[in-house]
Amino acid sequence: MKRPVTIDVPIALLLALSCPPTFAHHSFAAEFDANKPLKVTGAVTKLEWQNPHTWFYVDVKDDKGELTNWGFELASPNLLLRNGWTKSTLKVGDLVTVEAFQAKNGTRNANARAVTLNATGKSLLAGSSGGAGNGP
Amino acid sequence: MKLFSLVAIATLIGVTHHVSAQWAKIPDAGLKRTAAGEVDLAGSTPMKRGKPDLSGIWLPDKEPLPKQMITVEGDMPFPHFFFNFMADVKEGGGQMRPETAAALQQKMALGGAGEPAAHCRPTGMPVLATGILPFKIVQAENEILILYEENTVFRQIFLDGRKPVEDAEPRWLGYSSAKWEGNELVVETTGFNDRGFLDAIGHSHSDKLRLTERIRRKDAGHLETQVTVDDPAYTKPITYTIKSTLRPDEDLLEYFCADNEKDVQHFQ
Repeated sequence: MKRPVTIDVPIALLLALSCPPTFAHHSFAAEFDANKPLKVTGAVTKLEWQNPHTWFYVDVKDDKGELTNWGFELASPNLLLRNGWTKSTLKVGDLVTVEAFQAKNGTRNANARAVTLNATGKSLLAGSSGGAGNGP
Repeated sequence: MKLFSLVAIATLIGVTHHVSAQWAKIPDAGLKRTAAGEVDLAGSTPMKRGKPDLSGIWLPDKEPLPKQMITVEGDMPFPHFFFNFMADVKEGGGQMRPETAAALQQKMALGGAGEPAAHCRPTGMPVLATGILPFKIVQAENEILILYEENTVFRQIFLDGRKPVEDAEPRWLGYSSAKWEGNELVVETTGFNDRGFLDAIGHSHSDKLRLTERIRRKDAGHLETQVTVDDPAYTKPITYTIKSTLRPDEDLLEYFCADNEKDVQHFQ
């Protein structure tokens, strides 16, 4: 019997070179650049507590002192809710500091990694809990 | 393709995270509890009409991300077979046919932009059963329903003696029928389209995919699903086991992807 022709792909190598997709909607690599970190402070102007991703918007002063509005993506509200967020965790007018990775396409959008409420110093992970716990 | 910024990822470590009560949890009257009110996850398997009762809300077990990975959801853990359904297959075994391997490499080069879920389409099976959102099993006498929070989709698993449909209308999640073998529910699913992904990195399947799931509720709180993927795109069937844990007193939430989908316009 003729042995079938096959190719073995070193998946571990491919994973090391590629940002794999995530299940909760889309991959990091399709939209954001891990080599373009961003850290900004500003006031929240809008919150979209909706699937597949929560988005919030912040007015940020640019280099010329002018206000620009940035959009920041969070995990889905379903995941955030199970990690202690509510639709009131971020409110319009809150002053926040956001650490994020910028969109590849150069628009003022970014994937938020950590959000700090400046009034209290409270830090909130943008996604789900770190660590190896089983619960969302 | 650039490697990720490990420095950037490292900045995430150490960010404290406050977990508080999420929503009013209503105790499930159908679960046995200790005197303290806790559900004993290691307790005996609940039975219904002489068979294990698989009903409940379940969440696939998770593990930390490999260090080089980065996801939209931060550093949260993911289930073992979510990214790669062949994670435990020894490389070099020649399981993928050349065209299957080439298709995978093409998809990975796109960085996930072609993933069905990214376009609010169903991701497919069996990756749906290894996700980060819970699913609910509802067990009736002649039918079992699995409700998946991801994309608010469902599967109907017929338990009335019907055979798998070999030439079904192509479906994302297939056509499922099942029978009991002892205390295991054996689910056979055929009738797939060829557009779904077997896992998140994009292992493809054909419309000849035959999926076998052997579902066993080990005890009150633990579900094991042995999955066998049998598809001409692979040279031999591939079998692995998904472990899930009961989420007592939890609810499924809505997840309508089109509600606020705005990522695709940013893809490059």
